[in-house]
Amino acid sequence: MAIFLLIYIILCLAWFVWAGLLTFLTLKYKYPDKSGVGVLLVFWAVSITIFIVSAVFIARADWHSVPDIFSNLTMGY
Amino acid sequence: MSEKYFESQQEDEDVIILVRRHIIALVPVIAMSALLYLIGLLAVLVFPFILPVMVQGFAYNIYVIVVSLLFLFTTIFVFNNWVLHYLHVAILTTEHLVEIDQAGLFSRKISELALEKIQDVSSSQEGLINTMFDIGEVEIQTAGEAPNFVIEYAPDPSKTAQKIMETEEIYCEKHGIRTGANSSNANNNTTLNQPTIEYPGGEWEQK
Repeated sequence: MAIFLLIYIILCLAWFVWAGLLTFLTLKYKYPDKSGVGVLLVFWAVSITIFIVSAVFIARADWHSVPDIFSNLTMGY
Repeated sequence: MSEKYFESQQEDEDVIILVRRHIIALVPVIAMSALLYLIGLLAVLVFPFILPVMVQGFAYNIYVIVVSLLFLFTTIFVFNNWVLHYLHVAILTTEHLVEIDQAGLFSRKISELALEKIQDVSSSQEGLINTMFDIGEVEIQTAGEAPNFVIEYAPDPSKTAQKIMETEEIYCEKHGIRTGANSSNANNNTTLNQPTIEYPGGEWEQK
């Protein structure tokens, strides 16, 4: 079961690297009108909301019922 | 001048206009992400009711992870495209025309053109959508071997072209230069400040 959570965590880390780079670019090259910073804040607000909702659903899921794929595969050999 | 719009901006150099591509250029991205969000919403709101067996036990865990990732990656896809749109600008100052092209996360190209090198400015508008939203292309022809500047999806292209011409004229008058767009008028029909009028019945007679 851990493999699914592991894949999810790796993808989330990749997401954070990507989001970090975009945030860095926006702040580094922002124009004096500051319009970019507002959109950046909206992006992070939306993303954090999605993360929190996802975390709630993932925590509520019954991970003990998930079959361990690797154990099942190796049992045949 | 309080803050700089680009690195090489001088202290006494003021920004006249900042042209960013019209939001219509992002329509394909917006449409695609709207479709992905819709798929995600349908997966959350409809799927559990039409196939309740699939949202139990093992399938439910996969379902939660896939839907979460769909929303997250669609959001960052939209933001990624918006950042590239936001950072891609053309800036007209009292001294230069600067084009900043943010092609990718690590691909940034800044082209600066002195106003005296502008030879001709033309604007064009093609298609129904462009006409409806007043979007077009502004092309700035340059003297010498310098590549031409093209501003795509420019909002109100004729006004933008006019502004560039006016600024160039002021710059040339200020520095006593009579080159560039002013000298090319006689040979070019598309120059904006003094358009050539073609009269089909013969020579134009002013009364």
